[in-house]
Amino acid sequence: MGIQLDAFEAGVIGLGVNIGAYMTETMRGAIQSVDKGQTEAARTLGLSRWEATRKVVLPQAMRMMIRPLGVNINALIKGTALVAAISVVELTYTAQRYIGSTYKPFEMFLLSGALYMVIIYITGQGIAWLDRKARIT
Amino acid sequence: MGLDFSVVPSYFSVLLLGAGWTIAITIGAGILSFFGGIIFAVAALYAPWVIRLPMRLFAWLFMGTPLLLQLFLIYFGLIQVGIDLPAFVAGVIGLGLHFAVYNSELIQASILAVDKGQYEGARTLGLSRGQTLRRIIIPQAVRAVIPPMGNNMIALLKDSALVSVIGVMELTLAAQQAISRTYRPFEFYLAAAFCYYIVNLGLEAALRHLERRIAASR
Repeated sequence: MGIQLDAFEAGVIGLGVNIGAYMTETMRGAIQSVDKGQTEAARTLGLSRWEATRKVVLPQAMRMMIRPLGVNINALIKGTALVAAISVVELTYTAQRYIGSTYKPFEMFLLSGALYMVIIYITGQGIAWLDRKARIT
Repeated sequence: MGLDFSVVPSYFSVLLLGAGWTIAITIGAGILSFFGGIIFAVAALYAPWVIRLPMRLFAWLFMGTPLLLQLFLIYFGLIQVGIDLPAFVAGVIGLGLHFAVYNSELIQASILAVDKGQYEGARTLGLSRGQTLRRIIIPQAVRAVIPPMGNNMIALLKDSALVSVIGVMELTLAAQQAISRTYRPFEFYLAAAFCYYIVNLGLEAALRHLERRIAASR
C-alpha cells in the first residue's frame, strides 16, 4: 500500500487503536452512569450543553472510570507481548532470543512471566492509589 | 502498489481450512474453559486451603501474564520437563486454562449471589452438601453467568489467532502462508479478518439464542 512503519510504530498504533476501542466503551459506560439529574440541573442553572458536560458530567464520570480503565491498561500490558510477533524486541521477544542461545524455554518464560506480574502489580497499585485519591469522601 | 483481491479466491480453500481449525480450537478451548471455570470456582470457594492456595497462585499466574507467554510456556517449556504436546493440544490447553481462570472469577461471584435460602432449602429437604452444590446452586449460578461468559467466548475466538505462533494451521497462519507465497499481506489479512468476523457473527447469534432460551426457561 506504500505506507511503511517500523515494527515499534506499527505495534504502538495497532495496540493503541485496539485498546482505544475498549477504552471508548468503558468511558461511555462511566459517562452514562452519571445521574441524568446532574445534566438537567446544570442546564436549568443556565449552563450550555457543552458546559454541562465539561464542568458537571465529565468530572464525575472521570472519577468513576479510573478502576475500569485500569482493567483495560492491565489487558494492554499483557497485550504488548503480541508485538513480539512483528519482532519488536520487548520482554517476550527478548526471552525468545535468549532461549535460542540457552535452550531453557521453561525458565526463561517463567522469569519473563514474573516480570510481567511485577509490572502489572506496580501499575495496579498506581491505579488503586489514583482511584483512592479521586474518591469523593 | 494498489490492492488486488484477485489472488484471494485461489487461496479460498486454504483460508477455509484455517477457519475450520480456528473453530475447532475455539470449541475445544471453550468447553475446557467452561468446565474448568466451574471446577476452579467450586475449588476456590469450598476446597480446603491445601488445594485453594496453589490454585490461587495458578490463577494469579494466568491473570498476570500474557496469553502468548503462557502458550510458549506450555508448548516450548513443557518439553523441557518431558511433556511433549502437539501444537493443537498445547493451544487448546493454553487458551482453555487462560479463559477458565477468567470464567472462574465470574462463576465465583455468581455462586455467591445465589440466594442463601436455596442452599438452606435444599439442605432441609435432605440433600447433602455436594448434592446441593451440584443440583441446586451451580445450575442457577451458571445460568446467570452465561451472558458475561459469552463475552469471554468471543474474546477466546479472537485470541485463538495467537495459537498461530506455536504453528497451528489456523486462520491467521493460513493467511500468513498465503502471504508468503503471493506477497500480498494487506489483501490476505483483510480476508482473514473478514473470516473472523463471519465466524464471530455466527458465535454471537448462537450465544444470543442460548440467552433467549435461558431467559424463557426461567
